[in-house]
Amino acid sequence: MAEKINSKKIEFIKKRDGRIVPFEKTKIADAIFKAAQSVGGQDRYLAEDLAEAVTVYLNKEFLGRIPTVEEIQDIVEKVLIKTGHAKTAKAYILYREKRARIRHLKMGIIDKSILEEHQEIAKLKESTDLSLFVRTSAEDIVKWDIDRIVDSLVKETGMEKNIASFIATEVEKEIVASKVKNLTAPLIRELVNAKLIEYGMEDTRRKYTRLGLPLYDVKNIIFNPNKENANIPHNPEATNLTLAEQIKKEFALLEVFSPEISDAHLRGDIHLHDLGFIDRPYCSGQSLEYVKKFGLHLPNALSIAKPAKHPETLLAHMVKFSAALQGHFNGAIGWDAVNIFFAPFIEGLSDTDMKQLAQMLIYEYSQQAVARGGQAIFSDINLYWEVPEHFLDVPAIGPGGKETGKTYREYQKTAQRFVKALFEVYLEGDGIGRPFFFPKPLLHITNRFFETDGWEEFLELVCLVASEKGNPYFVFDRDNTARISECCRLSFKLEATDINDAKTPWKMRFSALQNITLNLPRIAYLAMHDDNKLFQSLENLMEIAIKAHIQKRRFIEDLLSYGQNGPLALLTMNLDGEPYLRMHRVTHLIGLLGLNEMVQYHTGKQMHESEESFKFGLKVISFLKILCDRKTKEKGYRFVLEQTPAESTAHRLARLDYEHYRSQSTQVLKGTIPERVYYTNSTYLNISEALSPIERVKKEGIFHPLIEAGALTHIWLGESNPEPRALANFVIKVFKNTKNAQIAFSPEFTSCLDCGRIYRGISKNCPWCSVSENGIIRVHPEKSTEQLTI
Amino acid sequence: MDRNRFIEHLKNYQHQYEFEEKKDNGYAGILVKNKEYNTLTFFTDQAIEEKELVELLRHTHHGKNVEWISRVTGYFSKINSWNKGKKEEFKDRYRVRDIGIGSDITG
Repeated sequence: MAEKINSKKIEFIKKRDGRIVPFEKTKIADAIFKAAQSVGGQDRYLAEDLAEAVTVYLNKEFLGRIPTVEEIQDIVEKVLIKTGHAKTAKAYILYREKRARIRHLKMGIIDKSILEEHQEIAKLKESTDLSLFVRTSAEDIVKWDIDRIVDSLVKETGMEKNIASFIATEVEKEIVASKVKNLTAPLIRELVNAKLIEYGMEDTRRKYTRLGLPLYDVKNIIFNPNKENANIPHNPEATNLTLAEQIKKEFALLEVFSPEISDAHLRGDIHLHDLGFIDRPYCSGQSLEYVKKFGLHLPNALSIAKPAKHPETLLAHMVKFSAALQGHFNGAIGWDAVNIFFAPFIEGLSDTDMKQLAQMLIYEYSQQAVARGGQAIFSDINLYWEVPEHFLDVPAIGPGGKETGKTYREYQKTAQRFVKALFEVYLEGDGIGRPFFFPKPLLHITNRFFETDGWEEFLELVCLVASEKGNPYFVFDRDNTARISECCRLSFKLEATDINDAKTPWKMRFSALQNITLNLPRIAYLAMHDDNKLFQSLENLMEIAIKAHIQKRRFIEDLLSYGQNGPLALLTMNLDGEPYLRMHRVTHLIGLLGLNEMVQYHTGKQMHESEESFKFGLKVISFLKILCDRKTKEKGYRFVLEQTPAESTAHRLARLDYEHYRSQSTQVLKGTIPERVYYTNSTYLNISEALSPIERVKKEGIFHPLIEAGALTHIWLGESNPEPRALANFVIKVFKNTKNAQIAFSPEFTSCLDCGRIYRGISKNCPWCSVSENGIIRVHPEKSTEQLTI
Repeated sequence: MDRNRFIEHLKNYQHQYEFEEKKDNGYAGILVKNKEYNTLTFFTDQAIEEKELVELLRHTHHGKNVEWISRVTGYFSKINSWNKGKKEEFKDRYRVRDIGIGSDITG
């Protein structure tokens, strides 16, 4: 107590640049702890006690006078030595010296001690006949040259040359001392980085980062299939994609997005989709009219094709353009009204030729494993039975890119023959009867559908395909809400200006720039059952997502600004007075994940369990929709809600929440804890609940009008084969009596790789060729086939 | 193929195969357990000698080398390539048996 009377509490300190800032004891504790750690210390409390001792000492010594940083550091040294922490004191002194050297270098002063040390190195180098060789990234083995480090530090981080050469010499010192003979460029870079950290130059180190992968990971990637995306095969081309994705992902998180956004992604508050494709927009929908009118005239192409004159050529142009586009987008390539726009090329074609063309179209898309990691082209074809309202009076473009003098109204019959042929091919399936994976057929149904002759018979054909193979998506465009769909369920609702574009249909090309998904359940965990908190957090999270969107947009704009010489030349191609990618029309998707679990945690019941919980879910989505509309007005960019496909996201965010919000998340997580967990996709009701299909379609459909960028209800058929007529009835009723935007029926298949046959339903063993569980197969050479005994 | 190389291959893929060199019905050979498919296959030495690796291993499938196909999120694909979360979701999916047209949808 006596001491306290003679001391006055220290409140401020004077920094080196003369600024007076508040005194913070924790900073002293941090510095002591850092020094202690460097010599193996681990006791944070001890560091805090020592910092307290320093504070007491300061109070006594300075009696209210403001100490400088140097004076404080002197006292820290003294206290450390006096309290018997000699090792820590030494580390602390060393660190001080290092910082001082850097400060001096920045002022252009080279400390005597440095000169002496560097002379020593020079001597050592001479005496050891330094003959170091470096394996560089340019497949070269070169003699050690310290200037290479200096130059790269200056070039990449903007560091001053004298500091760079100081750091480089420090690194050289260690290399010489280690007596290593063979060095690699990546190793040297890491040594430099370690040195930068030692001198507290964290920001410089960030800029000097090397992106890449550990040897172990590369080996793994080359040998094992990619499980993030079920559409990517496993072959060398796919491996290339995975490797490139890893690096671009790191690049995106370091360079494209701010630390705030990257952290939000890494923590799992949001999910930034397809980071490995950071330099591409998300997905796109096109018009065949563009290809018909301009041919295939791609920037930097080796040859240029004039507009097609024959249907097969048009098909070839369409497929090749799709492949080129797939290299520029990370999601689906959709095509609008394919059967209608093909019609002027195929009038009067025989049934056989029509079927042949349909077969070519489907096989071309389903078998080309060419672009983007050897994937088949992720493609969607939008189809109509009736010519929709907005294309009725549009002049048709025919062979050679010339107008035919007729409007599309007059091509309805031909378009119908073609769409029928397409579904007949889907019904047959591939060479062994499996469903075609691509292109996905999206059948649009507008009000006119039911006024167009033959619709019943046609709908039954499509429903037969749905029951047998599952391919069709039924898209409901009620009351002139025209849309073009693509991707997993993404659609572009056509607005007044777009309907105007329909008069020049080659303009009708749309793109979503990026998809950012909100982790909804986590919001509920944080809100602790408080409504106000929940809506406030939603608003904050939306802010983050919008910021992220704008950062990606800036990056893409930057890439586009290089025009025809840039990486996105294809998207800047300008054949009709505006770039192919129309930035004024792109959308920015706000994806949704786990609404059901959010509601379950917040209200105690899942959405299908109580009307109140369902309404709360609806309130959340309405709130987000309003936020999107408000942000669209405010920022001038289109923000729209989407039902995220969430193929990997539903699992990733569930796992992160299991890690970080365990007690809350385990109450609502779906699947099997801990590894095999997932959240219910988007606004779906619990996927395992035995709801009648009608109830599910109707209830889920209530959300659909709020989700502008596309929504879908799945009906899982498993092994059952419903009657086509029953399905047709179902589809009609969904159109007429619900707000549901899109439905699909999904059957399941087992395909045997040993005998090549296909079986409806899921089975562990091939029903055609497998043997019983306890059987032993004896393989004898004299009997060419295997012999079975029990 | 060479018998020793066959054994070496089985050793390299220990996570998938167990094996035992033994006699069966008077024939010398190797009994192989394929752990992935839970099958037993006995290869006579002569069979090993005369057949290629790929063909030998095919015998350990016994028609269990199947692919399952369904819609993942918005497209058809092979289920073995799905991630753990999606595979679990696949198990949980409620499959419709009756499309239920009789129920009232007009309300």
